[in-house]
This record gives sequence, C-alpha cells and structure tokens, in this order.
Amino acid sequence: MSDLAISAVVRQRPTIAKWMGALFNPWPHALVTILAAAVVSYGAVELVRWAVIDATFRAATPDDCRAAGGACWSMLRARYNIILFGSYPPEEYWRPTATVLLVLGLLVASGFRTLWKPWLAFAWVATMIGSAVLMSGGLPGLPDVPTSKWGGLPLTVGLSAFGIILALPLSVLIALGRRSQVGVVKRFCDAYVEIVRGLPLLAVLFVASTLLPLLLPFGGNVDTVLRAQIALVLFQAAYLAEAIRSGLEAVPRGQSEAAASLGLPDGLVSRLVVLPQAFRIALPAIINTFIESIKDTTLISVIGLVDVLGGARGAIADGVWMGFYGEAYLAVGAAFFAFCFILSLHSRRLEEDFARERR
Amino acid sequence: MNAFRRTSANLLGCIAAIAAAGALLAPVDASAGKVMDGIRQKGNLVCGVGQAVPGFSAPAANGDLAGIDIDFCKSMAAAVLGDATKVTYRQTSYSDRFVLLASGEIDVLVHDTTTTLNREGAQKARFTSPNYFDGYTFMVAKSLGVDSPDKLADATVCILQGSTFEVNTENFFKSRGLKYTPLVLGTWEQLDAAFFGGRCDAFGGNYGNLAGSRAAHGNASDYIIFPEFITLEPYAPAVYGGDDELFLTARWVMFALVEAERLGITQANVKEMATSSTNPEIQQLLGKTPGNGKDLGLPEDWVVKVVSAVGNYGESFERNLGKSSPLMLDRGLNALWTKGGLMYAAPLR
Repeated sequence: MSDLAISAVVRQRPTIAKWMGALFNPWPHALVTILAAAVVSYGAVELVRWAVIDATFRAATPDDCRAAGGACWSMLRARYNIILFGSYPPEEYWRPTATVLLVLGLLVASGFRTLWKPWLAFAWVATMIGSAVLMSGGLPGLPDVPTSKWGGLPLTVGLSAFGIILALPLSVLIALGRRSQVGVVKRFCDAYVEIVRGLPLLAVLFVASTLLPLLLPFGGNVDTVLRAQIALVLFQAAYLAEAIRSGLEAVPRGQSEAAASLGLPDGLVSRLVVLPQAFRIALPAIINTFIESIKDTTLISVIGLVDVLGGARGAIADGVWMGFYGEAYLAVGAAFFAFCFILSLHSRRLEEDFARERR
Repeated sequence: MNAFRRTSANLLGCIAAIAAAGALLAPVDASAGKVMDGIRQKGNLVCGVGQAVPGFSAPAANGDLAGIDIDFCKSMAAAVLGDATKVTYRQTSYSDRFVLLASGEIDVLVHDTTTTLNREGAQKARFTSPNYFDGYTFMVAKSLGVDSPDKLADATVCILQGSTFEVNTENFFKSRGLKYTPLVLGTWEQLDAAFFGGRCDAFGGNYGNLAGSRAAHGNASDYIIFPEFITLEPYAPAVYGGDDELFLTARWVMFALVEAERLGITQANVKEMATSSTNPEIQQLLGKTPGNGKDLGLPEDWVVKVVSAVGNYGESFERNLGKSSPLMLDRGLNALWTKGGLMYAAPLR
C-alpha cells in the first residue's frame, strides 16, 4: 500500500454506528460491554466519592479527616515539606527549590534542538557544580547542610538527571568500543555491558554503599549521595550503550563507506556522519532509559537515602498524620507521572522534528 | 514477584555476608577505643537510625528526625561530646544496618533492633540494655468478643510476608492445637488496610507497630491488642565489637536514663538537682560526687548533659511513644521495675 492509501484509511473516522456495532453486536459483545461499563463506572464513582466528595481539604487535625471518611488532602498541606525536601532545614528550603528548578529548566532546554550547542555541555557541568554548592553550602550566606540532611525532590531529580547526563558520554564510548576492531577494547566493553545488565540495580546500589568503603583505600570518605550517583551512572551507562549501539547498527554501512571515500579520517566519520544518525535513531530508546532511571531512583532508599517516595513514607510515619497512605502515595505518583510525561512529550516532539527534517 | 523478592533478598544477604567478611579482613578497630577516638576527633557521632518508624525515628513537622531512638543518639552525643546536636543521622534500611555498623560507616546503631544471639555472636554487634521491650502479639476488634490469643481458634490472621512473624504465628497456633487461616501480605500498609477493611479477624505484629496502626485509625477504643506476648523483641542500641570504651558509654548512658527516672531527675530540674540535691545517690549520678565520669573517661557532668538534652527515660518514652504522643502506648513492660515493668538500671557507682 502506498503512503497515500494509508493516510486515506487513517483519515476515515469511525462513525457512531460503527462503534455501536463493535460494542453491542453480536449479543456476547453487548454483555461484555455492559459488564465492563458497570465495573468501570462503579470504580469511577467510588474514586470521585473518596477523592472529592468525602474528601477533606482544610482539616486542622487528622481526626477531622477520619470523621469525614474520604481522602485527607490537608495531610499533604501539612506535610508537603517532608515529601519534597526530607530533613533539609526549613529556613533553607529555597536552596533545594532553586536546585530543582535549575535542573528541570536545563532539562527542558536540552530538549530543544536549536540549543544543542557546545555551551549546553558547559551549562550542565556548571549546573552540577552549582547544585552541589547550593545544596551543601559552606559559603558565606549559605550555611553548611550535610548530605545526611538532603532528601526528597532534589535527590530524585538531581540523581536521575545528572545520572543520565554523565552516563551519556560514557555510553557512547562503550557503544563504540563494542564495535571496535581492537579485541581487548571490544571484550572489555562487552563484558561491562553484560555484567552490569545482569545485575539488579538494588545490588549495584548496595555494593556501592557498603563494599566501596571496604574495598577502596579512600572509599570511606566518599559521600553516600556521591556513591549513589556513581552507581546510577555506571548502571545507566550500560543500558544507554545498548540503545546507542542499536542506533549505530541501524546506520547503513554505505554511509561510513561514502564518508571514508571522501577522505574523512575514522574519527570524523564517527563524529560527523555515523553518530548523529545513530543518536537520532536511538533517541526514543535513550529517553525510555531516562524515564526508567527516574523511577529507579526510588531504590536509593535501600542505602538509606530519602527520595520523594522515602519522604512520603516519612510524612505518614511522623505520628500525627499516620495512616494516610493513599494520599501520600497518590501525590508521589502524580509527581513521577508529571516528570515522565513531560519527558515523553519532549521525546515525541523531537522525533517529529527529526522526521520533518528528513522529508 | 515472590520469587523475585526472595531472590533479591538472598542476593542482599549474600552481599551482606561478603561485606561482613570484608570487614573482618579490613584492618580496622584493632585497638580498643578507636571508634570513640574517631568520634572525638570528628566532634561528631554518626548514628544509624530507622527510616520512617513511628515513635522511634520519623521526621517531625520541620523535617528533623524525632523518636525514642533519636533521643538515644542525642544522649550519646551529649555524654561524649557535651552537645546533643553533634549527631549525623544516617538512615539505614533493615537489610544494610549491620553491614554499615561492621564497616564503621555508623558509630552507633539505634534502629528498633531486637537483641539476638546471632547478632552478637556472628555479626559482632554489642547491644546495651533495651531502650524498648517489644513483643509479638495480635490485635482484634473488640466486637469479635475475644479476650485472649488462646481463644483465636479458626481465626483469619493477617501476617507480614517473609518475616519471623509467620513462623511465630505458626508455632503459636500449632503448640495450642488450634486451627487458623493465615492471610499473608507483602507490606505493612496492605496488612493495615486488610485488617481495618475486615478481611481478617486478627492482626499479628509487634505491639508497638500494632498500636501505631491502631492510633492511625482514630478509633483506638474499638480494638484490643493482647498484652500476652508470643515472642519477646527487646529493642536495644548497638555498637560494633572491639571498642570497649564506646560500648561502655552506650551501656551506661542507657542505665543513666533509667536511673534518672527512678530518682525523679527530669529535664526541667536536672540543673538545680546537680547543685542542690542532698541525696547521695543523686550527687553521685550527677557528678557532684566525682568518680563515675572518670571511670568511663567522660566529664563528671555527663549525666547532667544527657538529661538536659532529652530528659529521663520516662520523659523520652512519654514524648515519643506514650500518652502525650499520637501512638499512646502504655508503659507496660517499659515501666520502671518499681512499677511492675522491666526497666532496671545497674547501680551507677
């Protein structure tokens, strides 16, 4: 079928009559339709009753909430700070807030191709250093806040964003290494990817947290947050390397041969001809890895770091607002969904961008 | 999912074993007092505490951790460094807490941890006397009309998956020749929802946790938690073996908190008592009669510092777990021995 024929089929909108036909004819279809509709609408009504009608938005005490019976959104109002910032000192909340906005801003900016210039890399390096200084302080006007007090959103956003940004260059090297003609390099990169992909992230984090200080002479001095960051970078790099290698494999051999026949040296063939195309092809897979890594950061609770999810668990364990699990977890779920969805939209826009260019 | 969880639990156990072995090989804590020297040098005590354990270690409204375990960390810092704020709290998980203690990442572990023979014998933890006596028992709705665990025949019991609770429950019902139906779920939140949703008749767990769940539902008087304990779970602070000085300090700080309660020394009156009390026991405890401090290698006013920071044991209990906390636990086993409990201090002389 030609492209024209396909778009003609797609453009034909299904009519109401066709919908009805599919849903109610023959009779077993009707039965299933009615049953499914009943279950879904019952669930929806109950959800609305809990989340809106019976919910409490401005209760002063948990007992007011319990009396109302529905969702207790005032719990979030009272304890949002624990979920978002963990144990960070309240008078310094502007610092984690600024850090999160800085990182998210740069992340959004990085999704626009017009901004893909060398300075973007410098901007990321500057943001990494800036966030670390802003969070830990130690300058005049910025009191010292040890990493043991960090928590919540800055950890989740920082560890996942910096993790992927640092893993990206590493993964390009590994992906190129796996296609290398030099046996040692190829075997090392193969082994790296296979070993890391064969380990659960939980185990990698646990090793980074507990074995590192024993195995390295200076390991005891490496901060816990930094250890988690290193573990995440090493872990994501293996997955990203595979995403990029799939892109490299998809670039027709003719491309590099043509470039070579024009007299380009090997390094430039990779840099100017193969990698840009490979990157474009691998983009959905790269963003996919990123989205996964955001959710993977919740595992840092196993090494005692408090991410957004850990913050939520803390907020419902403080005695006063105990037991409102649903509300806290829904809020955290909504935050994660928002991040991941923004990234998805970004990825889709980028793909369309590339597709337009190719036409 | 179960298989996955089991595999990852095994894997963690395996890594923990390797790490513990590594800790034994590593050339740390050869001489007694090395950890204590480190604490003094840093001017800071690293305290391993629980993540989100109501009443023991959980963030308060301003984000600072609070709880009876946190109070013990503060007491240690007050005794050793003279300042209860010089503590770095390292939140540990149930799976890595002993590894971190062994590797020297944390100086003291105060993480609602039950004292067991294996933990002292094989894992080289050294426990002080308990800061909370807990025990495994059941909670039921009052409307069930059952007043003792022995009458729970044919009950459906909610139990946490993969915990010793499963074995405890099985042993309990088997030894009494009673039948029961276990409803085993993966997380405490699920169990909580199942029990209060009426899916099981009884809810098995440690008294403190059950009371926490009960308080969270606001209608505490509709439920009873049996005071008969099926197993004992004495929670105690721990240090790693090899540093006698640190261990003795931890052990006697715990005793001092209890002794202060018996002698009526409180956060409010400790400064005054230290100067004006004529009771020889109080004079010795608070350092007016010197000797205790010298024996432990601490300043003579260490107990004054401790009680000024967190109060006596009873005050700490009431604030975090007792009637003035949302958990509203009875003192029960944690009352002083003079009031029918188990809290007892060896003489501080």
